[in-house]
Amino acid sequence: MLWNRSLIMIDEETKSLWSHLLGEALKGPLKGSELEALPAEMVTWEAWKREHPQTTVLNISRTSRNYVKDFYRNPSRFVFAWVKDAQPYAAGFDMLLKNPVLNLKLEKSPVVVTFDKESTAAHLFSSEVDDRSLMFVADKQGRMHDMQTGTTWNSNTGVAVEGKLKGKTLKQLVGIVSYANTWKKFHPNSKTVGPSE
Amino acid sequence: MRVLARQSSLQLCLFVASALSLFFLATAPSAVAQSQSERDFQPKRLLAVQRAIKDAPSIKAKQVRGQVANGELVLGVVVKGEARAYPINMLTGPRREIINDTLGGQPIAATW
Repeated sequence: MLWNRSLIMIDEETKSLWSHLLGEALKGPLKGSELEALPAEMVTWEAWKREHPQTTVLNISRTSRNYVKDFYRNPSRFVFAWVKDAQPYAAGFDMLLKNPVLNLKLEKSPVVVTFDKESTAAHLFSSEVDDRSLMFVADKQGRMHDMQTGTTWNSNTGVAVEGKLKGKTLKQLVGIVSYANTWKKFHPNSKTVGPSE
Repeated sequence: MRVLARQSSLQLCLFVASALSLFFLATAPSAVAQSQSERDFQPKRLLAVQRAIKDAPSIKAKQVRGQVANGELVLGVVVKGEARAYPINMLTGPRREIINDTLGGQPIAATW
């Protein structure tokens, strides 16, 4: 049913075949075209509506009851992954559980990965604010602070809630939750990141 | 899980390719440099195309009466200040997988 255990889509207009993981047409008239991926997160309903009280929610019948928080009981099977400057990266869920705020330099620009154990949400943000790079540390309340200004940030939304940079928002980048094996098949050159990077 | 921007009115519908063995098929090396994905993408058999899901209804968070529980996982996305959650438990299964939708004026596809 799937290709490399991942969804293939067809469009009604041109009948091109698309990979949802790559966002790219693999066959047909639009072959080589890419769809833009938007920042999205996989998170508990409770946490999502708390951060976004005005949210709407899809209202169609259920097809499953399996996808609850417990879905991650084997964290080593999952990665939080992204592509930046043509290089794929993957952060293992087991590593993120131990490092809920992970500063990464990467090739060109610094990023911070945040992971919220309670809601299971992972986020990727640019660490640059007004042309300056920030380093973040987690606190016990599930928030983070930057070492340069001491500002307190909501690690789920990237919004500065208290301190010098209050009101600023970190730019959210596209990252996805994937099975570790699937990501590796689609991106054999993916780099695994961790606290030493 | 993904949310993709759809170009103009492009409608994505679920497409099922029988490919359990595909990944293991040997492919002839090509002189032309191709990405891994292009080289390997040789579906042998295509299954029936499903009807595209468009115009699926959404409700406000406060109107929820048991459709989604607090501990359930959702795919959450914000476009131009408009937030929407897609419960994973509504996206799975061969007749779903892709929801064509519009959020903040932007045509999108939520996929699983």
